[in-house]
This record gives sequence, C-alpha cells and structure tokens, in this order.
Amino acid sequence: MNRLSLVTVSLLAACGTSSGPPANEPARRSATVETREGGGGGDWPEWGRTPSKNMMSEAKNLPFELDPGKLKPDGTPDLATAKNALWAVKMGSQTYGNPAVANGRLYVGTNNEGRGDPRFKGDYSRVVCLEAATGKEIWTLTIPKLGTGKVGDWEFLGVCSHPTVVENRVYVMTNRCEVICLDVNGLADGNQGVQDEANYMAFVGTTPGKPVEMKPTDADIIWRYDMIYELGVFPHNITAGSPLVVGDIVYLSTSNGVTYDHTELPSPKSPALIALNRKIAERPGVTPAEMLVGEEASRISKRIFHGAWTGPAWGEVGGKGVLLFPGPDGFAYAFDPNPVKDADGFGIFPEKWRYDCNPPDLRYKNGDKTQPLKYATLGGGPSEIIATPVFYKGRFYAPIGQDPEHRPGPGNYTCIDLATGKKVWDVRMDRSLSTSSIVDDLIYTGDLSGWLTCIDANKGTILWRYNTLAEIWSSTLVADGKVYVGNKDGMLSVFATDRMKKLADELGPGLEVEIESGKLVLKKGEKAAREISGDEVGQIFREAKFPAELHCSPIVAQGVLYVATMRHLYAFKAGAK
Amino acid sequence: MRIIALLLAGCVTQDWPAWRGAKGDAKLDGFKPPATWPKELQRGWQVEVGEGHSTPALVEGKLYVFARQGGDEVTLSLDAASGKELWRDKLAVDAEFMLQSASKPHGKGPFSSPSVAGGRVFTFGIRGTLTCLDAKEGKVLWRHDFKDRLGTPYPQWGAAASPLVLDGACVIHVGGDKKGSIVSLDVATGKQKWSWDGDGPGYATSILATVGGKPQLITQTQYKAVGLSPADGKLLWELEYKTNYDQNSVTPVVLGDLVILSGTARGVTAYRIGGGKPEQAWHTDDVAMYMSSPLLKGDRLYGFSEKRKGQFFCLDAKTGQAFWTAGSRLGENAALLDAGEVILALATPRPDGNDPSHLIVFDAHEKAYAQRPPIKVADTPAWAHPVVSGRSIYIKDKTKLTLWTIP
Repeated sequence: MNRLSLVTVSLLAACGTSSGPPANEPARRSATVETREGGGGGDWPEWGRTPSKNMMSEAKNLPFELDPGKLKPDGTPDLATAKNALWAVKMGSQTYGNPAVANGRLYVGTNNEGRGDPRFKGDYSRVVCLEAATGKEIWTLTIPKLGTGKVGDWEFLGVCSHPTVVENRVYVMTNRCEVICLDVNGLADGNQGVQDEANYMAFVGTTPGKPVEMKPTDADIIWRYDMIYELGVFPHNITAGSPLVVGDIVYLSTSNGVTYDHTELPSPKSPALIALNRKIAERPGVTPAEMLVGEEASRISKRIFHGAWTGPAWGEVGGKGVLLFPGPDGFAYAFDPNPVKDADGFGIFPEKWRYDCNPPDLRYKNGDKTQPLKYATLGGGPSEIIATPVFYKGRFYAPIGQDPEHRPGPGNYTCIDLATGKKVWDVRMDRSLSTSSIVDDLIYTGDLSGWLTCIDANKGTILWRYNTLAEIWSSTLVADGKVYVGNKDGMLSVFATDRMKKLADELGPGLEVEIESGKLVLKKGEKAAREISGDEVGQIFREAKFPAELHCSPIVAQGVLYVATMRHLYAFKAGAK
Repeated sequence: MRIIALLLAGCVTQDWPAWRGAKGDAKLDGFKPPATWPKELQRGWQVEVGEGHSTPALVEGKLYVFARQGGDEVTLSLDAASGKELWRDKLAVDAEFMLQSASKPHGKGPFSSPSVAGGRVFTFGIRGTLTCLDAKEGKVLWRHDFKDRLGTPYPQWGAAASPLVLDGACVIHVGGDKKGSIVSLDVATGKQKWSWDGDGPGYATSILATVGGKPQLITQTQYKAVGLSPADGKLLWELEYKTNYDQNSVTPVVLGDLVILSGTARGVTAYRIGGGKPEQAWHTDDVAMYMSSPLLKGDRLYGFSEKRKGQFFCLDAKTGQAFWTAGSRLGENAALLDAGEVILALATPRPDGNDPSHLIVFDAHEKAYAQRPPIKVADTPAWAHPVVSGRSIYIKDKTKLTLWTIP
C-alpha cells in the first residue's frame, strides 16, 4: 500500500507564479486547498486551478471589455478586428478539453478536424500543447478513436478531459478511457517512458495499424492506464473528467456508465473513483495493478444514473485531507484519501459520509420514501452531480445536474459541512453542470436554463441572477472583481461582482437582472426595483459575442484570460490590441 | 403546384402535397392576409390523430396524416372539411427499435411528412420504412424497409427526411449511422432506378433545385451536403458539413449558384457551386438554425434562429449580412411559411412539455421586424408545419389535428 503522506504534501511550496520554459524541477505544487493568495493569479494548471476546484483566481487587471473580432474566410480569428486580444488560434471543430496553463505552456483537448496532418486523416482526438505567450503549437498527442461509435467514444468529441499539469508531467484522460501521463516537452527532448507512441497512434479502433512516423512535435507518452482493460469500465458516450493530483497520487472518476440506450449498467462492479500512484507508474516494468493504489468500494457504480464523468475535489478537515466526490448517483461523498486494504488486498477509500443532494420530491414520488422515482432525462426525478464540487471554508458546494443533452430540468444546489456530512442549506435551481466560483462568501454558478446565479454561501439565499438566454454548459470564472460566464450561443457575459453585491445589499436579495434597450433593469418579482442607464451600465455589465459555443470555461493564468470556444482559442489581456 | 381554382374570401385554396409544399419552398400562392389580424382564429373540427412531428399533406380536399398511435405508425386520410376519417393504414414499428436516449423529448416520431403525387401517398417511418399507398383507399402498393441492404436502417435520432417525388420517382435518403444511400424508386413499382451510396442520412429533406443552370438534388447527409444528378444519381459535388452530435436537419435553399446551409451552432453558410469544388461565399455566426428551415424571398433569407432561445431574422442571402434579428425566448422551433406580404410562423415551445403553440405573423420586409400579437393555435407543442389553404389553417399539435379558420 502506498499511502499519501498528507503532512508532506501540505508542506509543499505554493504553486504557480513561475513562467518560462518547463523545468524538470522538484514539486512546486501544493495540496493547500481553497484559494491561494497573491502571486498575481499564477498559473491555471488544473480544472478549478487548485485541488479545491474553486473557479477563481487572484489575478488582477483583467479586461472587462473584450472582443474576439471576426473570423477570416478560412475560419481563423482576425486579430485586426479584435479588442484586448493577445493572440487567437483555430482549434478542432469540437473543443471540450478545457485549457490548462503551467510554466508558459497551455494544454487543451480538442479533435482532429481541420488539422491537415497527412499522417492522421479523419476522426482523432488530440491534446495540444501551445506556447502560452503566442499560441504557437509545440506538440500534439494524437489519439485514435476506440471504434465504439456513440456508445463509448462518440465521434468527433475529441478529448473532453481537462489536463492537469504537475512539474514536468501532464495527466489527462483520453477518449479511449485511459489515464495518460505525458512529458511536458513532447518528443523534442527524446522519448521518455513507454516507447510505443508510434504504435499507439496507429490504432484503428482496437486493431493495431502500421506504426506512425513520429516527429519531435508529437507527444511523449510516459505511461498509460487503460480503465477498460484494467477495471472493466464501460464508458458512457465518452470519457471525461479531470485528474486531481495530490502528492504522488492521481485521483479520478472512471466515466463508468450506462449503455447507449440507458437501460443497463454493464459494469456495476467497476469503481467510479480510483487513484493511481504516478511515481510508481513511472517505474520501468511496472504493472497496471501496481499503479492502482485506491478505489471506492461504496458500490457507487451499481447506482450510476448515467456516467461517472466528474472527478473529485480535495478538502481538509482538521488538517487532514478529504476527497469530495460528486456521486453519479446524486449523492455527495466524502472519502478518506488514504486507502486501506480490503480482504483481497485492494486499496479502498474509507467512506466518511454520503449525503443525498436530491431533495425528497426529486428522489421519491411525492416525497414518499417507499416510492423511489426512476432517473429520467426529462422532467422531474433525481439527477447526478456532474459539476465538480468546490471546497470552500470547510464546506462542500455543488449543484445536481445531468448531461446537457438531457436538457434543463429541476435541480438543487447543496452546501454540506465537510466535517459532519450534514446539510448546511440547499436551494432550488435548474440542473447544472457548472463548477462554482466562490469568492468573498458569494457563490457564482450557471445552469442549463442559462441563468447565472449569485448565492450567499453562508445562507443559501439567491442574491441576484441573470438569464444569459442560452444553455450554460461551462463554468464561471471569478477574478479581479468580475464574474465571466459563457453560454451555448457563444455569448460571454461579464458582471462587476462588487457592484452587483452592493445593488443586492441595497435592494435586497432575489434580484433578476435584465438588459433592456441598453439599460440594466433590476427586477424584484415583476417590478423594476432599479434601472441603470448610460455609462454606468458599462461599469457593471459587458458582453462579448464569440463565433462558436463557449462550452469550455474561461481561465486566467499569469494575468492572461483564455477563452476557448468550440473551434478557437483566444488569449486576452487588458491593454493588448 | 396544383391549385384548385376556388376563390374563397379573396384567397386561393391550395394543395399542400408535401413537406414545405409542392416545390419544397414553403411558399403559399395567392394568400391574402386579412386587413386586420384577429386576436384568435375560429376553431373548427379537432381530431385525435396521434403523436409525431409529421406535417399533413392536403390534396383535393383530403388530408393525409402520418402519426404514431401506440406502437403503430398510422397513415390516415381525412376529409379536410369535416375531419372524418376516410381510411387508415398501420404498421407496427416498435420491435427492434431504439433511438438515441437524448431524443426522448421529441418522442418516437414519426418526423417525416407524407408526400402525395399521382394518386399515391408516400410515407417514411421513424425506422426508415418507405411505404407507397393508394391515395383513394389506403391500399399498400409497395413497401421497403431496406434492411436487406443496410445495417440499422435509420439514423440515431430517427428517420426524419420526407420523400421527394419527381418525374415518376420517389427519392429518399435511407440508411443509418455513417452508411446510407440516396435512392430513387419508381413510383409505380417501388423498383430502384438509381442509388448513390455513401454517407448516412441527415434529417433534412432533399430539394430539387437548379444551380448554375443545372438541375440538382441537394441533400444534407450525416456529415455532408451533396448535389446529385436527378436523372441518374451521379454525384455532382459534395462538401463537408458537420453539426455537433450529427444533427444536420435544416432544408437547404438555393439562390442562383449559392447553396445556403445551416445547422445547430454552425451559423449560416452559403457555398458557391460552380463546376469545380464548392467554395464558401459567405458565413455568419450571428444566427443559426437547428430544426427550423429558412425561407428565401427574392434575395432575402428569413428564418428562426436557435440563439437567444429563439429569434427571427432576415439576412441578405447574397452576402449573409443581417438586416435584422428580432425577439428572444420565442420558442424552441418555428415552422415558417411564405405567405406573400407576411410570414406565418408556428412558434413552438420545447417538445416534451405541455406549453401552447402560437402563430406569429410578421411582415416579410427587410426594414424591420413588425410582429402582431401571437395567436394561440394549440394547447401543446406543435412541431409540424401549419397547412394553409385559403382561409383554413390545419395545425397538428402533440396528438391532435385542428382546423382553424381566419375569420
């Protein structure tokens, strides 16, 4: 058993103000949770920036007004028409793998469309490494499709996992239901770790193909862990989620799920949550079984509604680490991250508590516990937790939600005391897959009906909300006194958080914000409680129209705001052209 | 266009023999709007016909309705004046049938609309079964399920294209995921005249158009748009056209040598079809159509965009520049008809709810969007197109078909 040394990891130095070329240096990354102070915002090396998964940053001087400009006829962004844009590049046609930035490099998951590499024609998935300062491509991991079609590796979805960068390694889940570790330098500095990249990238489904000629601009795979072979996982539609790395351990959800038609759970005994030891995984000759150091044994997979697409967050109680796991069965789980061996010798995470985030009327017919409601994509009934939970000031924060293809429906946002597993408050909202931003005890979150909602983190009171008029699949970013949120229409809405807080304090909670003929109208019920017009509107609210859906979440690293649409990636900085 | 020369209150009663009318352009000939639109229409008969988004056909005073009743797809012939059922055919479709789970809001179909020509009714079921019926008595003349030549004979969201009948042939794109054939079948015998084998089907109906002086069959497939020779099915051109989750659903329109395509989150793009490879002429991301198909009036393109939870737009079809976009939260879909001076739009809420549907009438003008108060025409979501003949408007909602009259 390889246990985490929590003392060690919590003593590691704070992350992320470094820039320049990636270095093979000792771990600079901390397991310190919640927000990390100072440093101008530092890097954004993982989903949620830190293990607490709070979608916020301390970055300053971010642009309030930004404009992606127009596209040229070939679909590339035309920077001459943009505002505050440092650079912009075209991605594949579907970009779901949210960017991560560390040590001057940006890593993003997309598909192969429009790439033009003659070695890879057709549908592949990619992780692309770019120079964060310029957008210039450095290397690319090319991943063949599994060949399952829509069942387990839906066509053209690309890599849907957000990469996590630690030291000189990138951890990401592929569309082939693998955990993969990459060298940040690609093959340019030689081939480290496994030596079979040429064979890996040649697969046609599960059939080996003719080895691909490798180039220095290809990715260098250090190791792979195949969750289908090793764990019997049945990924539903695609593999998603983000690896959480604390110390030597990589924690992740497996994407285990239901069949294409939602009628069966083919792998109820496969875990929904596992942990791999990333240092052991780099040892020559290591077996996959030796990599696996922990898994949940709470039988979550027997209860999966749809798919275990979302990974855990890290919290602390009394100085000890806790895994906050968003149950694909609608329960919030807290696990001890230190596995203990079961009778068969498997490392098992002790379950500290679980809490049903579905209110009784969504879980049971008329709230009657003898009449459980079936999972339904439409209408009422229970939902899973698909947003990543956020750890903030000793509490677990997350909404319930479903695959956005299941459309809007009744949801619920829950705040749980991490020490006791007891609910602090909950509040009704629409289904959501947005991971929250929590700053100054205010929660910002989006939902599938398109609402951006600000909730008091202590009381659960909705202070204000704004209908962006299209589904929100992505998450908010709060930084520099602004909340950024993108929607399916490609509209990025930006509010000044302090100004909105003042208005809510003044006018009372429950405000609905509307933009009418250039005016900002704050309504309570049907009545306008305040109308703001003229220049003041621009001090509180801005929006920017992007040419494609904003299904990735905006991030900030080293003072640069990165916004990925489905087909492009933009870098914005106040004062840039 | 078959027009019955009955003048009624200044309107010409008109047959509507297929999806978007006889020419596939959703254009009503001779419609005279009332001087003042009423707050509500007069309700006539109402008949429970079954589920589905299929638009009825209207020919010589008879309606042909394609709908689901229980596990059957039924074709009904109704007397258009009274709603009385004249005949019915049914086909059990539930066995070995499975749609993509996210399609549940739209139910199990059918989505395809019947086409009526030469005394025959053609239907294309949710499972990809093409049926030819005798229009007088409902007798099945021939029927193909295409199982012998393809794998799964229907795409993941269910077959939705409507049969296109021309020159003694019935053209339809059959097949399933990534593999399909656009086939031309002899209307009398059901025998294949030609077949183009290639990509799987999309959900939009093929159109017959003249592009650059050449007649062509233009079809959105699963991942492409293709132009075929209507005589022999020979591929004239193709271009890649992909939408997220393979949802190509919008009927193409043609202006001169421009083929205008749209799809969910794809904006609107015009491709110039010359002798060589199609080239993009213009593109806009300001609006995008999902399941609603646009109208071309002269060189103005009117449509219903999925953005801002539903808004209408008018574009310059030569350049893609928007004259106006208007409204928000108008619904999840709108079925548009070109009624001359005005555009009639049946705006519908999400398909799985029980919210009402409204007829929205606005001026067909690029200067401004001039809307009148919406007129409620159904208590439930109505995803089929309205069928308009003279002053009669037939609305198929979730399960009922209702005759409304403009007073």
